[in-house]
Amino acid sequence: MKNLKYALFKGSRALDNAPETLKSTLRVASVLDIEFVDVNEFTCSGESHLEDKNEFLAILINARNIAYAEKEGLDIVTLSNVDFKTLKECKAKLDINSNLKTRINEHLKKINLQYSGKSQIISLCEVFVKFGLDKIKAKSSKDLSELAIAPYYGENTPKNANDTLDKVANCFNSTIIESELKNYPCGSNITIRNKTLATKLTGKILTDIVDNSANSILVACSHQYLNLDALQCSSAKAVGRDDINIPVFYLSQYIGLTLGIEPKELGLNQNIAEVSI
Amino acid sequence: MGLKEVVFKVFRFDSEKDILPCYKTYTLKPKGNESLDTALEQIQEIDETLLFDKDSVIKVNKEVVLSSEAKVKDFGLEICIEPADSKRVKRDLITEYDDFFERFNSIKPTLCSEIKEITEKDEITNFNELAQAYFSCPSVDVNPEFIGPVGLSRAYDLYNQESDYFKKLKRLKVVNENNRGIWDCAGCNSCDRAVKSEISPSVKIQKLKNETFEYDDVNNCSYGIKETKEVEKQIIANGHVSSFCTILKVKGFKVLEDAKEFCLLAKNKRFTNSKGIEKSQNLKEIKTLIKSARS
Repeated sequence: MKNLKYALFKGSRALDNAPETLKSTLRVASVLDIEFVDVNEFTCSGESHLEDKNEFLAILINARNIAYAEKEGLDIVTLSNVDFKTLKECKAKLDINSNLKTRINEHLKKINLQYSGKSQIISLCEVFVKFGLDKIKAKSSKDLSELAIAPYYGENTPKNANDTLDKVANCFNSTIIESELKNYPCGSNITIRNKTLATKLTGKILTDIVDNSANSILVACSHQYLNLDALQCSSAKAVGRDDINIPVFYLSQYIGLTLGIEPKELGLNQNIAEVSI
Repeated sequence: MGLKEVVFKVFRFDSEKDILPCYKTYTLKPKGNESLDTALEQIQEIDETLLFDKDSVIKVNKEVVLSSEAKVKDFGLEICIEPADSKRVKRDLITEYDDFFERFNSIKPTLCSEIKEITEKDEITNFNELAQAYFSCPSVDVNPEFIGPVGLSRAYDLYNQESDYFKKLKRLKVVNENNRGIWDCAGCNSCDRAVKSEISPSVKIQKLKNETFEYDDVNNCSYGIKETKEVEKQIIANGHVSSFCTILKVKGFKVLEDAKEFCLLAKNKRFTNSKGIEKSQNLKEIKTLIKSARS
C-alpha cells in the first residue's frame, strides 16, 4: 500500500501550549510511515473568532490555507476539532456556492493562489482508521489493558465519527468507560473570555468521568486536551470537587504508548495531570 | 417473535416532601411507534403517583426532547426519563419555567417603556420549540446570568426590527455584556437541534456578533470583542495565535487570576509567548487579502 501523505494543519494550540499533541503525532507518524508535510504558509484558522467578526474574511483566510494544500496536491489533517470544523465549514460553503467561490478566487488571484475544492479536510482519527487499527495493533508492543479509559468527543465531532475513540481504545484492550457527557462542550472557545463558565463545563465532564470510575481520558482534539488536562484543578474547584486528578491522553500519545514509544518522546512528561504508565 | 421489553428509569421528586430525588424503574412492552407521552401514560397506569405534563419538554437519555414527538423506539431498551431541568423541578417530570421567563423577559420588546412581562407558555409562539432550545443549552445550565439562546434570538429579531441607529446600538450593548451575552455561548449548537425556524439561534447569535463590529463603541469592556480583535491582529502579525498574549490583552492585570495555571504550563514547558510561537510564511499575503476584501 502506498504510504499515507497529508498536509499537517498544526493549529495555534499545538504550536502554543499543547505542543505534546504535535510532538506525539509526528513521532507516531514516523513509526507508521505516515508522511505529514509541513506547509509553512498555513495560518491559524481563526477558530470561530474570525467568523465572529467577518464571515467573508474568515472564509478567505481559510480558502488560502486550503489552496496551499491543493498546491501540494494533499488533503489536510487537523489536530483539533475546532480547526477541523472551521476548515470543513469553509470548504462546504465554497463547494456549495459557486458565486462565493468565484468571489473568493478573485481575491486569491492577487496572491497567485486558487481554490478548487480538491483537498479534503480530515481528522487525525480518520488517518489512523484509514491506516488500519489492526495494522497498528500488529506493530504494538505494549498492552494498555490496565486503563479504564473514557473517550471524550466534545460537541464538534461529526456523528459518523462519534465512536472512533471507542474503537481505538477497544483495539488495545483498554476498558471503555462510557460518559453521558462525552458530547458535552468543554468550553474551550470561551476559556479566555469566561474562564468561570469554561471551568464549570469542563468540571461537569471530569466529574462524570471520574464518578464512572475511569482512570484516564482519551481525546482527539488539542483544545479539549488543553482544557481537560491543564484546567483540571480549577475545573474541579469550579464544581466543588477536590478529588479529581486524572491523566488525559491525546490520541497520538495513546497510540504511541501501544507502539512502545518512550513516554517522554510523546510529551507525556509535559502533561499537567501526571501520567504513570 | 415476542415484543422486546423496555426498561424505563424515571426521575421522581416532590419539592414539597423530598430532600433528594430518586429513580423508579418500570418495564413496558412497546408495540412499535409510541411517543414518550404514550409510554408515560402506560407507566401512570402502573403507578398513578407519577406526574408529568403531556406535550412538554423532558430529558430522555440526557437528550432534551418534546414528549409528544420523541419515539420510544429511538432510545434503545433502557430509557432514562428526567425533567427538562432537575434543578427546577416541581414534581416528578414537571419543571418550573420561572427561570425561562426571567431570561426571556430580560430582553425587552421596547427599550424605553415599562411593559407587561410574559409569564405564560401560550403567550409565546412555538413555546415548546424554544423551551427545548433553552433546556438544551449547557451555558444556561451552568451560568444563571446567561441570557440564553431564546433571549438572544429574541434580541436579534428586535434588533432587526429597529431602524434607529441609537436603539440598535443600545440593543447591541445589552447582548455584549460580559458573562450574560453573545460571547458566553459555548458554540455547541445544541439549541439548533430543537428549533425548526429558518434562522437558528446559533446563526442569530453569530449575526449579533458580526453586527457588533459594525459599530465603533458597543462595549469597550467586552472580553469577546477584545479577544476577537486580538486574534485577528495576531493572525495578521504572526499567522498563529498565542494564548498568553491574547489573555493579557483581554484581561489586563486580571491575568494574575490565571497565574497558577500559567506557572504549571511554564513548569511543564507548555508555554510560549508571541516571540516564541512559530511564524507563518508569506504573511504579506494575509494583509493583501484583508485589504482586498475590504475594498
